[in-house]
Amino acid sequence: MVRIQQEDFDINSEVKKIKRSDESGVGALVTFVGYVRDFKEDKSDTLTSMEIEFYPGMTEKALLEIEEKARRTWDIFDVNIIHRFGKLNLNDEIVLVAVTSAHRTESFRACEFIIDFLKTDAPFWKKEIGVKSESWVDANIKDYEKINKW
Amino acid sequence: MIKVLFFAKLREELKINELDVEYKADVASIRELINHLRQEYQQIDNVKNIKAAVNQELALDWDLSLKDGDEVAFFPPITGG
Repeated sequence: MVRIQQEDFDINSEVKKIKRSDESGVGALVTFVGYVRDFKEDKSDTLTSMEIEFYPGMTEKALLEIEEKARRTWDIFDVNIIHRFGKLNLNDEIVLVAVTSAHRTESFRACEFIIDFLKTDAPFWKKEIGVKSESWVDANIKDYEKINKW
Repeated sequence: MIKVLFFAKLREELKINELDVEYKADVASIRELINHLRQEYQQIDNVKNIKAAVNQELALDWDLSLKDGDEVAFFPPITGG
């Protein structure tokens, strides 16, 4: 399941959506949460907030395709992907990826696969708002190197 | 018509979210389309490594033929997550 939303999410209730207490087959749940952090290149400035833009329609499709690829590759039960957009403050949650499976290996691998491809294939763009200036974040070459391992 | 969308830094540089471009024989690929747009919007070159999507699918081959009615988006490299 994939959601793009402006509002914050509660990790506990999002996790419960894919790990219900009446399910006995789930042996593992792995979550990844990404936060707004201060990584402005200009060290004389301080990040105060971030603005996230996406491509309505394409972004949802791209996320669903990534989920599908993970499901085809690993024996996993369920996936919950949430990505926020709009203005986010320092330390706010940006993204959640949660995966359930019978055994931990599949959940770990699938969760990492999903966040790695989300960073290169799902159209989101971040703009950092600092005290003095604002700037669009440049793509990180390391993100592209990471997907080569899959 | 080809519906053209711009996102993020490109949208800000061009000061436009979307526009319609008439589909013609010399605007029949992504490369031809962006060259056509460049005549009016030279600021396109202020953004490096521009990516394109056709009908909401990432398009790596810019010589891919476009069809009348296609939606083409141009944007900087993705930086989500």
